[in-house]
Amino acid sequence: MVYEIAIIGNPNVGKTSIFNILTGSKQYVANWPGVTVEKKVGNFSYKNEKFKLVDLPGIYSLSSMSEDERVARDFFINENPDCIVVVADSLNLERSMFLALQLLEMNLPVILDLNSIDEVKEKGRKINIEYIEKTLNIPVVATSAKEQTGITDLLENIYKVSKSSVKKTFKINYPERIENFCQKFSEINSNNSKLANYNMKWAALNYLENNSLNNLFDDKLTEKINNIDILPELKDIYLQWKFDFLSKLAENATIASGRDWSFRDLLDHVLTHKFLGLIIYILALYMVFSITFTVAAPFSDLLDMLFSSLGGWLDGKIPIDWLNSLIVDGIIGGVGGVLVFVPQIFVLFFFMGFLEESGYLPRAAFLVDKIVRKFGLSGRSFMSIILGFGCSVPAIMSTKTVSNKKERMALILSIPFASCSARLPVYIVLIAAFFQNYSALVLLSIYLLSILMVLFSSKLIQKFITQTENIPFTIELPRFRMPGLKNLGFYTWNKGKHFLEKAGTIILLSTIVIWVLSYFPASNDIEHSYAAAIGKSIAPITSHLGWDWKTNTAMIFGVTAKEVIVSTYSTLLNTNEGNLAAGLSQIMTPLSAFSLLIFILGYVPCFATLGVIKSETGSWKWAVFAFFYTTIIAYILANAVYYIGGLFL
Amino acid sequence: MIFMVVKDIVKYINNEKSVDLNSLKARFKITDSQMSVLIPILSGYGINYEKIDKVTPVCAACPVKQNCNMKGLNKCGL
Amino acid sequence: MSKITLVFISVFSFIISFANIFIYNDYFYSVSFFVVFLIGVFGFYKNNNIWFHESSHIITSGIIVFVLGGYEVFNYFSQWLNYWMTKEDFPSLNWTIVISFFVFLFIFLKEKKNIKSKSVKN
Repeated sequence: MVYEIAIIGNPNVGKTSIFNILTGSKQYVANWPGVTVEKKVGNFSYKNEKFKLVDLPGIYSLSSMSEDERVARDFFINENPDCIVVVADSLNLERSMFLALQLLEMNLPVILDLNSIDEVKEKGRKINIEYIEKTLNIPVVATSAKEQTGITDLLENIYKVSKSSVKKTFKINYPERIENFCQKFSEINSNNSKLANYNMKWAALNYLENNSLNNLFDDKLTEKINNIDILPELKDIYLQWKFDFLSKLAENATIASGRDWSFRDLLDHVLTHKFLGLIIYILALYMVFSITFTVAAPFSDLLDMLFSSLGGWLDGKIPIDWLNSLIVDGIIGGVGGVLVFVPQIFVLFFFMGFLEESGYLPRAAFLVDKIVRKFGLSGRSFMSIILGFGCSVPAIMSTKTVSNKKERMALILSIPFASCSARLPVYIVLIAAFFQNYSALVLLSIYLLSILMVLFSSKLIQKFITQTENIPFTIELPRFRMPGLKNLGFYTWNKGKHFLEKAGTIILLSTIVIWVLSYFPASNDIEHSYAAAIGKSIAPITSHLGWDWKTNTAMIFGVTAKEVIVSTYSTLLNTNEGNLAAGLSQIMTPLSAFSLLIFILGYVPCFATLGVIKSETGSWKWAVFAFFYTTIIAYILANAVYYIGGLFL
Repeated sequence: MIFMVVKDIVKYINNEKSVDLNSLKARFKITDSQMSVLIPILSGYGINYEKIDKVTPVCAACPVKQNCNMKGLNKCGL
Repeated sequence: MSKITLVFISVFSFIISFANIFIYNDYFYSVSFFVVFLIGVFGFYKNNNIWFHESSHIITSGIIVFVLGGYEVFNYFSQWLNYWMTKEDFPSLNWTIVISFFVFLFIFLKEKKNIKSKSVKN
């Protein structure tokens, strides 16, 4: 006979570590039927008995709101396992107790495993295991996955509970009105065959709490149940009882000797301060941008020298005039003009990766929770915005887990305003040409403005969506950790690689197209080329901002990928990076350049982003909307910056 | 331990649509430990919570899979 | 003891903040040390709920200065790289940052010892 054991617990309590220790390499991964939730199963033997261990998803409750919770709940109802190990974080006992209590209410054979007991000792605390055992009438084991202690004790208890024919049960003394309700509920449903698999008392309590089993009762039964008592009042009594019971249990179970602290607590106290935390965060961003410029600039210059000499060496060596121009001015000038920014991109991602992997970004998201709530978003959504600084595509994808539909829709349509890394080369070129002395500051202001644009846009869009759902609370701060160099390397390479791939594909292709358009029909008169004609066609709406046809053409082609703006400039101005800055300063004033920066920050999401907007909203309508919406907002802002800036400059 | 009425907290949250956890803690003088108990209880009232430690979709759900299979970094991102 | 340290942090970082404007014309360090100054000042406002409130402000300001020190080293090396390539702008080290680094290292280690003894006492 093989005993079936389930292992369950909150996320990040070391559940998987315990699972791995128990099963070793004898495990496999499958999916739960009908859903994408992963199912891990392993086998082990103890005292000549065989056990099958099922690793359930990390959840906080069985209230069946999410797919994970539903999977776990259905497993307990349908599979009826021989023993359930609830892994709890000893340092945060109270959080795990809710789940443990729900399982006990289902009358299941539970073992409570207090994991990370070593950390409790380190903090000078003690847990009164006996007290928990007596209160809940279940076996309680203390383990440490890190130090691999307490495992034999756990195995012994699994063995005993699984073999025992009489399961220990927890007799809960609920307030009288609740007990009466459960009694009458059982009587009413005594003939309800749909409830055959369920523990009747649990079904009654579930009915009170959130009624996730409502499909098991027909209208007649529902009416009868609802007439037992005033149910909303009973629900309040029940949940208040739960709160008091668990708070008391957690309070009495932990004995603290001395006052505990950790570096994480010390840092958190200041870094999550509503005012200090925010300015430290802005300082951190400023530092990252500043490093991007200082560290990467020499490497960028080196690449620039390389491309310039390659172009100079090749120039004139190809006898066919147009081919010579295509390779030297078009491909080397255009693609090379973009490739010189590879160092900046890599350095920026390296340090952004550091902020994210160290747990600092999620902390910042928690910090701004209160502020972004005023815009109808949660701190969790702020993380998606930050993710959008890398690329809008995964940022929009990440909104999948935002449960509030109104918030999600607003986010999907506003994330394109988050300044993605493709725009970085354009910023760097314009900043180098016009704002050399304040480079990091200008870049910081663009990113901060970008966050503001996302927030205001979300607020605006939500005005048109009617829904009154609450914004979910934001919880769970991941621990601070020193990111491994290997992980950071992967992170940086993964993101930087995409930039290189784009240079070899879409940027190269666009560069060739732009060269063709600028070379024909008159090979030596660019002012009368097709490219000029395209740019001049929209001059009436851009010339008042001081943007000439070259800028217009660059922006039109930038729709394919934002980096193309730089390669287009390089081709049209017939230069590469070093001289590009000089060339740009000839065709624009600093004010025009700043309004252009703002326009580029907002206008038209790239094709990939439009595609993902379509797939996430399920309609092209929204992709088209995003196309026009972002462009119009960006245009209005660019005009505002130009005219308001004009008053001061 | 200060006695707390869960019902009042729920009423407050439903009235103030955009209250955050820290303000709630300050208003009702809730300790960290009580908060941990309270959060799953609130979900019984339909007040949801979201984690912020994991937002990057894993490779299985990533639209750009070719960029998303680096070892040790099961993250979707460009 | 912690209060005296906080007074020292506030005054010292305020001076460094101004020194960076007048000597080095460096707004980044100036703003950064102003933030350290604010962390010191906010440390005086007692927070009864958290017993390590003062230590927390001291330790965090220390860590921020360490990061700034690291940044300065980074900056210095990239200046050398730039000099090596262009032969322009001879690299220079911002001494206020170097001095602050060692001052805060001393404060940090002392406070670490202090908080350890405080946690055992009660």
